[in-house]
Amino acid sequence: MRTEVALIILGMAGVTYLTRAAATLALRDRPLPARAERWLRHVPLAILAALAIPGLLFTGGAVDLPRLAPRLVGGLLTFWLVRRTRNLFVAVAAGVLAYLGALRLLT
Amino acid sequence: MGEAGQSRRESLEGARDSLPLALSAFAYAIGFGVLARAAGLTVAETSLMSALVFAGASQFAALPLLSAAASPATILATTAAINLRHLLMGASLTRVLRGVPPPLLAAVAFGLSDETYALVMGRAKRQRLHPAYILGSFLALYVGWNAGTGLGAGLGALIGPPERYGLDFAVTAVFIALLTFFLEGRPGWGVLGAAAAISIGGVLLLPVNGHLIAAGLGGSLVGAALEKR
Repeated sequence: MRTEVALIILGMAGVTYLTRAAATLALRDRPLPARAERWLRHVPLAILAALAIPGLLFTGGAVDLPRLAPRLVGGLLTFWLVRRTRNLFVAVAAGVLAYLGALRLLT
Repeated sequence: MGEAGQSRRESLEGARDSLPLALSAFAYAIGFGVLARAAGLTVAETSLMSALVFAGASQFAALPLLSAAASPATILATTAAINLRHLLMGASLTRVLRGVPPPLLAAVAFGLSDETYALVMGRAKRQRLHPAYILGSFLALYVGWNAGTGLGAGLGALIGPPERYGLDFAVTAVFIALLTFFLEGRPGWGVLGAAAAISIGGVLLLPVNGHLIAAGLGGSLVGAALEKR
């Protein structure tokens, strides 16, 4: 192992851990103004949408046309099944199978 | 049941609920291992990075920089920018972990990945969140990520792309399923719409993972504004 690469990796680990721990520890058990609480409550949904929606449309920063329709089929089925059944595992498994099926049919 | 028994049960549940996510991380990690070798890292360097950094997007982003012999400062700044979203996630995670002692919080923070965050925030909506649940989820993902990295770095060329098994879509499906749990009422749809629009624009216009910060901030602010009225 090269020393310089190892040091860079250590630095990356430190920086990453800082981003993970800073807010978690600094805002611990500290009562926040009602306005901030109201805002933070919506952060999970916003982050999840930002993870999910581009995942449907893009691969590596560009629109993935060949896989767009299969992903939309799988994604909408997953969404609908969770709302119907509240069963995460069944919904994801069915969504992935629908995605693979549509991919096979369309390509 | 004693505290130890509950901790064990919670951590097992966290690991079990994370299985599909861990499988997906495993598949992505194979890709990372293959690319890291192609970028000139040794198997040991590749494995060390996954073990210590444990943050997919920033690890991928470091590869072209490392092989181009970019300055350490550039690499660290890129890492920080890509992982800045953790600040936002940590701020909301710590709200549902009231009363957890700081050393345990510090340990939990190491495992704060997109996947674990999504999963545990979903659980926190339904019941009290136990730190052992988060650690169980972290362990499942950590094992998946590091096993995949080792496999990809060691003999990745033999396995073929994970897309073949639909694993590239599995993680998106999990995120869709989890966001559905959070989707309630008019503010929820507003958050979803705003975050979707901002993230699409962000992917096209911002540096890697900038869309997560922009949409995380923009979407949640829209939600707060809608709730007030």
